[in-house]
Amino acid sequence: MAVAADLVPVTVVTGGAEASLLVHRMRLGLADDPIGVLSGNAGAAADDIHEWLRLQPVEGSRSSGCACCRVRLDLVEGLRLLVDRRVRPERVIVLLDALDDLSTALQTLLSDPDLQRLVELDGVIQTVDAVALSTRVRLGLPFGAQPELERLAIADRVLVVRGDELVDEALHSVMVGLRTVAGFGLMAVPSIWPVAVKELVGLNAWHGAPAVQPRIVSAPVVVEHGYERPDTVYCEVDGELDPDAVEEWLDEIVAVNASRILRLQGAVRVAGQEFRVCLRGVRSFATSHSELMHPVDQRSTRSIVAVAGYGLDAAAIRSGFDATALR
Amino acid sequence: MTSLLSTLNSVARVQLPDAAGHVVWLDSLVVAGCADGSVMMMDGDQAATIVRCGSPVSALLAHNDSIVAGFIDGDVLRVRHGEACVVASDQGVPRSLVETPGGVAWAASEDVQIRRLDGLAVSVDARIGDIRHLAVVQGGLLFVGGVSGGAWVDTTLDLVDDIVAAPTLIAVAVDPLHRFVAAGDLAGSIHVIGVGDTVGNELSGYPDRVHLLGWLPSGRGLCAAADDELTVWAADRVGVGDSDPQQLVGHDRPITALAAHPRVDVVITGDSGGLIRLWSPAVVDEPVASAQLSGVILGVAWHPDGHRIAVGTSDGNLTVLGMRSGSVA
Repeated sequence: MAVAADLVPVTVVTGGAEASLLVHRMRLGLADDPIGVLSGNAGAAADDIHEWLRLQPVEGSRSSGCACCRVRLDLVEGLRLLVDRRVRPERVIVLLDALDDLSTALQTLLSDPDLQRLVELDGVIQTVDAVALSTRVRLGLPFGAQPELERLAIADRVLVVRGDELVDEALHSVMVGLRTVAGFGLMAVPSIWPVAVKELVGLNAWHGAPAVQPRIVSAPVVVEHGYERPDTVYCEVDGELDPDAVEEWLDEIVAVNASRILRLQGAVRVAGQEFRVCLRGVRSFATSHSELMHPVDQRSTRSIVAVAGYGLDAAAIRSGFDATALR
Repeated sequence: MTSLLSTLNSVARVQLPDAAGHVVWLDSLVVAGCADGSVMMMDGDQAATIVRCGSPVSALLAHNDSIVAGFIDGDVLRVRHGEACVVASDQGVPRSLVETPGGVAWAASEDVQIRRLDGLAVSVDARIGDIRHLAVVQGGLLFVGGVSGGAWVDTTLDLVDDIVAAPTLIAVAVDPLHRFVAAGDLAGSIHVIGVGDTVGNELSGYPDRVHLLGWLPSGRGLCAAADDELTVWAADRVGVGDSDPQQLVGHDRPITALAAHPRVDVVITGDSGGLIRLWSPAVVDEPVASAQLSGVILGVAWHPDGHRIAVGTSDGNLTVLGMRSGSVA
């Protein structure tokens, strides 16, 4: 979809130390355009040319404040300061560190009225360290901390760094594990197959049908004790759907799963509508718009919805979606 | 000829280097804090830089014959007669600079920072997490809103008097008659709390966070904005919220600025489309005056004489509007 001319695209970059390095390289690679960087890491953001602003780190809080509220308020305040300017940046990169809450940040980007007039979520990029992951896999340790697994389940692009330091077999194990968790994300190993910085922006990944495919390969993924692995449920129907039934199905998914939904996205062809209706959401927030906003070559008549989250009843979600088809 | 309705006219305008998010009056001069870190003074149709820092201005205060400016990177500077000095640095984003009987105070991260006239620097942990807004209630008493509720902070004794249990509070406004404090929360409610109380009356039903509040100077009304919705709640000595609020319909874009007149019961609002509206609770059907500016309205400030309004916008324009009262407003 072409982003509305007056909305500034936002790319969220998340991960460990590699994420800061990636933001630095993105700034260099996109130096032709003014870029705003919002970060809790001053080293990654500070620059004399680009506009920058710090998110306040959550760690070290003395009082029992609400971390979600802080992330939301800091993000709104920071983006307003970056974008409500005499000269707007062409795009904004938000760098979240391991302590920041990605789901809250995305929900804020999608739902906040102030941000809806300013920015458009372009994509989420997650970086992972292949060597660290491989070590964990070999030792039978959790594949990642719970926030990392959540980020993987949400991300649009997963950049696997230091992949060239692993033998093929070890890299394969890592990639299969990642593929099992990262339902939405396309993966790349830049040290083996170089990725141009410009391929990481202009994704428009949160519009239209998700770029997700039914899982072909999967592997057991060890998770922390007491937690579960996020999963992605993929639904597809060919033919027209009953609009009331779709609405009811969607309401039920949100009502039943609410905060366990990490990401919801789809495009459905409902009776009476010339174009598909696009859905997207995080947690209990979901919204829709017409695919009319999408270029003709990206339109389709198939209905596709993917939901990533915890404890999702895949069979019930799929059968419910199938039941919305007009007979 | 006398106009029946009030009018708003642009009487002066200057172009600043960047978005003017904070606007204050220093006697008859307008001072604006910009997103590029500059603090500019408007004198007639000229603008001059009075101080510049490396990060956006986060708070601005005219204090006696000085300007005190806070910056996102944590610096707080005081400028007096062209000389700038560092008041504080690296203590968190300074927010809500206010004047207290003993000096100036502001919020920085989880603390209320107080700088006394005798030069003493005091920091009080408000015990409510990250502070988002504070206001002077009376004397040295402040009400502070943050991510885990509110707190009464006494800046003369440097202690927290009491904690108010509430959701994340992001806007605070004090009744001019010093009876109540109103605090807007992130979930779309207003909490009206009697001075010194720990429990408030909740006014709910807003479509989004209540981020702008202002009391009418008579104390007879509380104005609140959330998204594009503007309401006025009737207030009396008992409290606020006995009846439904009046809806003031006139913005179809998010309201981004609000300021109550210093003496007369009118309020001015600005939105993200550059629209300025002047409202009187006596005329709820439509605004009593309007003006269209460019950019997003980021800051509005009444001159103490009540006849001029300084307006800062995202495109870096700093405009002074003159208000001529009509027989209605």
